[in-house]
Amino acid sequence: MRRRRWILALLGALTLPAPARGADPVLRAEVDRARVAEGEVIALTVTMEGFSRRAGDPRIEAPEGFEIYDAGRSTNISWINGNLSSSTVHTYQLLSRRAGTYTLPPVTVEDRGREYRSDPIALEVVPAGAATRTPAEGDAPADTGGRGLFARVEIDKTEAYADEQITMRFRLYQRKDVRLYEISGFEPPGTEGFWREDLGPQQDYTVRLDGDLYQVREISWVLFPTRAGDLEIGPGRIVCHVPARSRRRRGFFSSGLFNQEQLPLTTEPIRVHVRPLPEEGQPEGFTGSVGQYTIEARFESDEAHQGEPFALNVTIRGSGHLQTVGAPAWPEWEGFRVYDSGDAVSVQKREGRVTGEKTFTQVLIPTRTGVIDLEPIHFSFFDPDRETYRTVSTAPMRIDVLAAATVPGATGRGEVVALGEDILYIRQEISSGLLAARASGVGVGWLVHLVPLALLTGAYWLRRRRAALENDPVLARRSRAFRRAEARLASIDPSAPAAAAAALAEVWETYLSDWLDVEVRGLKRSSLKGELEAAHLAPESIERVLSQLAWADDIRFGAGATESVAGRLSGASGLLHEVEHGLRRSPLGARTI
Amino acid sequence: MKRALFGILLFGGAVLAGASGPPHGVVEAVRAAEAAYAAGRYDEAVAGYRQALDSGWASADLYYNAGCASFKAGQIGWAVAYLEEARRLAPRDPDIRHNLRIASARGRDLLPEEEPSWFLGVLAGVLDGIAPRDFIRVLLILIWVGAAALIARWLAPPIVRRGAGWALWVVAAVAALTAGGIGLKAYQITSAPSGVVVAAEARVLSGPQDGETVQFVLHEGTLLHLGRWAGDWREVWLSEEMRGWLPVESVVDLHGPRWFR
Repeated sequence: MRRRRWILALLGALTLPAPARGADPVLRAEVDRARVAEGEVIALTVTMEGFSRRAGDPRIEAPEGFEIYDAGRSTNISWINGNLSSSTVHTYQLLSRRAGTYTLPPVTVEDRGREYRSDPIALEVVPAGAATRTPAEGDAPADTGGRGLFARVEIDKTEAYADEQITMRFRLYQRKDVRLYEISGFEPPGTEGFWREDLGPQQDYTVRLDGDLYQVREISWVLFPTRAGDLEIGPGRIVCHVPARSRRRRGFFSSGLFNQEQLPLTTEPIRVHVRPLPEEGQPEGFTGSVGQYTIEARFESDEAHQGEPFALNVTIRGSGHLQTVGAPAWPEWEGFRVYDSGDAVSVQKREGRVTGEKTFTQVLIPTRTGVIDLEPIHFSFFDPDRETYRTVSTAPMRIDVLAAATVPGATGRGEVVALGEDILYIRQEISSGLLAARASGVGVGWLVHLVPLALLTGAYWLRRRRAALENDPVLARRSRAFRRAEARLASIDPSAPAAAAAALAEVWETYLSDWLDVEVRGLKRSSLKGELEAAHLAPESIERVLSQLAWADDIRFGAGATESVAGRLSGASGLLHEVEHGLRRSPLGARTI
Repeated sequence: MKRALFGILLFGGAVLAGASGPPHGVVEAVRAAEAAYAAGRYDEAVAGYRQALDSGWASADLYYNAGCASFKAGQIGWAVAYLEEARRLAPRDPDIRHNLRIASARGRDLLPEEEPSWFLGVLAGVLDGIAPRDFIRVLLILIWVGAAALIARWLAPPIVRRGAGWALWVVAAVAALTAGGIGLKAYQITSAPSGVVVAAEARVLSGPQDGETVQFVLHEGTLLHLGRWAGDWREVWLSEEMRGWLPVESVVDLHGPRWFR
């Protein structure tokens, strides 16, 4: 199992694409608040986007009057349009020790030999007990219960346009002299009819209200109304665990181990009047975007080559509901083939507002060379602050499209530049090849490949024959008898009659003993005729064989005439063929090859 | 023995009958097309090459020339179809690859491509470079070497027989690899797009009749998969999600490689 996991991990690593290149690294340092009281903590967030894996950790010099603590890091990896992008967020806590005004120097990060710096941040530390924030508009004691604890929900506007940004804050006020053991049962205000986005972690600060110092815990959201009409933000609820008000009223089981009681706090509902976007003045190409935006277009590279794709990034930047921002109206660009390559959203939430940018990427493939002017790109949106529709446009764009390919590395003597690209010429005179193929017959060559088959067949036959001869001595004698006899007969010298006659007799005796499967010495002339007759050899052939043998005996023993030796030998050859033929067709011939 | 010889002759005759030269008219049509191309009469050249191809005679060269002529005549869809046929017959031919790249770049549709894993990418790259007839060549070599090794195993002296035995094992191993390669190549061929859009713009409908919903629009030169017929309509798809019907005249079938070409 472990091995399998390793293999999967290895495969995953092999298939993981390299991070997207080309984008400049971005280093950002942000604090959750710039004004605190002595002894309070500021959260510092350092965000590193687009850095390499070898980039070092951020270097931070805490200003005098602060102590700095590392609070961890997190890495976020995301795919956007098929490219891998990663961001690392380092979090630190700055503990304020002394009142005063300070500047947090730029945070620095070193990557690939280059140093990146963030902006410096101004910080203010007020004496302990002083308010760290001035009361917000509408802030007033609502301590109706007189317990020094109360909760409020506030929004920055009660009238808005559809999809306009509204900031909602839930605040819990705790007077400095009030003890609060625990908070539980928090229920955010109901926001039906709104698109809601969190605005980051809880903020803690102090305010002075009517002479009393209050500790405030604040949670914020951004709301975007999704429809026109009167919408209601429902009540929020929180339960505070505080010391019991009276010992006498406390029952044995009523307030727990620490003499607590639960104090539920509920906020008032708020009505929001949402106006529809005006019909009048709505520009052509308006896709429903509301907010304040700018537009910028940027080519991925300064050069373009005919037939080679390059990217045009159009960024809509500003404040508003970026997720719903639609693509700008793309002009018809001549001289290009254009493909949509998707979009990517980057959002920042700062000071109760959602800002950021949405980048739309178009892939352009130039179809011709030369300088090409591109019409500006327009983007229309409704500005709720000005209560009017606005259209922003990119600056005029111009790009020089070069010929398709250059010779890489050709420098010094002037680069060779391809001026155009076309298909290669046809294969010439293939008709001649076709003609030759027709004349010769293309398939003839295939016959060559039958040779191994034929050779295999022959070899198989030879192998079987060889095995049969080795395993059956009778078969071997009969099968070889004729060839041996014929060879021996051809070697007889007729000039020495006696020797020739003896050799002839030996040829016949050997040949016939092979066929009859007897020893040469065991071949009796007296029984030879009978044995040949039993083998169904033709009587004429038998007579002629016996005659040959008789003649040979006469010559050998000096009783015969020697003048016809050559003729006898010649006749013996013909007779041998005749006898071989007869014997092969006889029952004996069944055991031959 | 006589029967074996008779069988061999019969098989040889069948091979000869099945693999004769180009039929009458092909050479003349190609010759006319070559002349027309040289004179810049590209439509006429396309017609000549198409006549030769319609006669059933096909080769990588013929498809290549037909693709070039179609490109010059402005028929990008047909150019991609012919050059794709040529590439499948001769996958390592650099001229064919070059012209196919240029013709494909003229197409308007940018199709999403799945990034295969490293292993599958390498395997597909290797298979892409092998034509079916390459497998036939390897098999023929194996037949020759295997036959020689078998004959030696049967008839040669013992010292040679041992070497022949090892050679037979090697032949068997290569034959097994080749068989696997043939299987993978067959899968690659059957799963590859089987058609090309030849209409300048083709609206893919949800059903095989006018008035159905337009699913998406394709342009000439786009490779796609072809399926069922329904009268004058053909089922097409790019992926599981993107499928529909096109008029038959909007697309052309890719015949794919034949193993003995």
